[in-house]
Amino acid sequence: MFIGYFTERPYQDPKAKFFGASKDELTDLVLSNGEYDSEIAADLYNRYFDEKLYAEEMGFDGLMLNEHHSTPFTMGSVMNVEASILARITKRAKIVLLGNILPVRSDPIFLAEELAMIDVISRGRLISGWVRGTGRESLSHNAQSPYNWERFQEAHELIIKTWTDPGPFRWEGRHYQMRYVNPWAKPYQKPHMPIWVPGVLSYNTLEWAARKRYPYLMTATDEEPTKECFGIYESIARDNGYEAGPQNYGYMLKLHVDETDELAEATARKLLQGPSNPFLEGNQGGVHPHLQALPGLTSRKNMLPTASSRAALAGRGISTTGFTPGSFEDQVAKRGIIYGTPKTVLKQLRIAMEKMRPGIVMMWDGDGAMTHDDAMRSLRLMGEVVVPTMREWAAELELPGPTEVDPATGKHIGTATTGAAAG
Amino acid sequence: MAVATEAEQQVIDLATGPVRVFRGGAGAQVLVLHHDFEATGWGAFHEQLARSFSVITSEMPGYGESARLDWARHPRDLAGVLLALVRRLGLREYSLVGLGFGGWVAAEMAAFAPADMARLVLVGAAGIKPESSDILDQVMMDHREYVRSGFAEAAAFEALFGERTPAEQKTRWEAARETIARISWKPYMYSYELPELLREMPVPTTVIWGTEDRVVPPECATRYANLIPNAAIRLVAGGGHWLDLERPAELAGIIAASIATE
Repeated sequence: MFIGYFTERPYQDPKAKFFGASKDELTDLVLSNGEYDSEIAADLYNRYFDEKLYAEEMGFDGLMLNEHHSTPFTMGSVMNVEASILARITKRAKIVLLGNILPVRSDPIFLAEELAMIDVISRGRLISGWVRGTGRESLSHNAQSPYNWERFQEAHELIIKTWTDPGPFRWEGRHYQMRYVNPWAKPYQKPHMPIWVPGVLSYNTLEWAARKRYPYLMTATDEEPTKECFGIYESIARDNGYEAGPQNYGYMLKLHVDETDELAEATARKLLQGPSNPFLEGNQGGVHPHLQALPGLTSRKNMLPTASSRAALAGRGISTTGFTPGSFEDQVAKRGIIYGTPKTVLKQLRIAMEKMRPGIVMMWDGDGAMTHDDAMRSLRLMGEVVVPTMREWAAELELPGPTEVDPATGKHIGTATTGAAAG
Repeated sequence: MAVATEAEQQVIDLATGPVRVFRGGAGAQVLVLHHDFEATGWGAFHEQLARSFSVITSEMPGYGESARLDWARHPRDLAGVLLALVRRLGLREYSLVGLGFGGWVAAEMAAFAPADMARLVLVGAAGIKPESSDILDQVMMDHREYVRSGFAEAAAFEALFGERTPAEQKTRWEAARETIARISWKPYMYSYELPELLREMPVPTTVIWGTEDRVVPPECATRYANLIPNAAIRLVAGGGHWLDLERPAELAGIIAASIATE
């Protein structure tokens, strides 16, 4: 099993009206960056690097970053800058980017170069993921929304060719035209770094990942529809001539571990008290539908089973647990958030592992209004107890990650590069 | 919006895809191009105009029943297809009336193929960058708000579109929004090249603008009139952007008078 650590790196300003105890909901894309305080930001960026370093020390296999634009819920608006720094300051953990937003890049060659450099500097520790981005990303870089999916596919093809074919070559595509492709930076890993794809709702993206044999990671979706999505992947894989397994499936869950169950609960609640984040159930805030879903951005007729559970159910006020949809209690009941002492959380994690059988698990913690101390306590207990136990269970339950079993062939890969093995 | 049944509907199968047209009236030929937010078919404005002329209003590709051109990237591409339609319909000495976004497409047609055109009428036309303000950006707005913004009087909007937007209307509006996002994403609703092409455009032109147009600023009337060698401005005091919907008889009267001066 591949176990990673993730936080959105929220912009935490205790004085801001949208933050913390005030619990004022923030509507996406209405906040002016006139409120941005670069002193606060400097502290936070450095804090998040300290936490990533500690996560590596605690034995996590991967340090995951993501990217959003023009919003305080993710400070990593140029995630590759953070990844570059991690490439130099970390030693062992994989740097997992989920993912770069292909369609908003007007020049995919720049992206190919940046990622190749990160892979080389880290000596082959980069895992490169791709996403399509939502409306805020397209607006922030004025990328034409109806061509999002076409640009995603063409940029991907161009980048793979840039990484693998000897240059120079010329590219005359529908969306990108390049006279001279011959960057003096090629991936350290051959033929190129592993590619994973995160997703929530889009059928097209899952189908594309399954056809390409790229591991697909579902981010904090409900368990039952997540299982259904893995089932869809499995049947697409079969149609394309291969058997998918745990190495093809990733799952991200919100997890907080603490010294007592009481402290764990109080701290886990903070996860839902930062700047509103449309991807963080329980603190999604508001969105403008016409901006979130720009014209032609996604096919609304082609959604995954997760679409009918998530915000949709909450929006209609339908509860599957007896609690208010999206509330802390609701999420606890459906294992959308797991908290407690190591002993408490392990019981829940065992059920989730058995039920969904992922080969990749990402722990989403240290988010919202959590402090550095909150994040570090949890990381320590995860490293001392939770992660090693999960590894034992993963072996027992036969849940290999994509660094142990090749997701494209189902064959075992030489030596497992898990933290336990390397540590 | 409902399509009046008085007009004759016809689907013209161009090699690029089907285009639906509505025709009515008799006399000199007038081709009308609609706004960006929806192909509103045949309405009171067309009915009024058809009292004096043989009126044809064509859906632009990507609107109504007329297939979207997935390859199109610019309003000039629509202009090319509509010029093919003009040839197919055999229009000669026709007047071309462009409303809002349709005005931009009409100006492109006139710039490239003025020979058969008797008169060009631009009504609150997009296509040229205002100097001291911006064209209202529908991408950043809820579409209902955008449509409302084109009316000078909120009551006129409610009278036509009601208090709630029916689902099928939303679907049509969303499709129209995507058409615009495909062909006029950036620069939004203007071209840097069109003004230069209009300097030698010989068709006598009437530029009509509502003084309260909140979609395309009235200053653009002056820009159009200064660029086109033979152009006159007619301002509609207190008028908004969708003059054809809000003041159909008045607009039809101004257009009829300007065509009759030929």
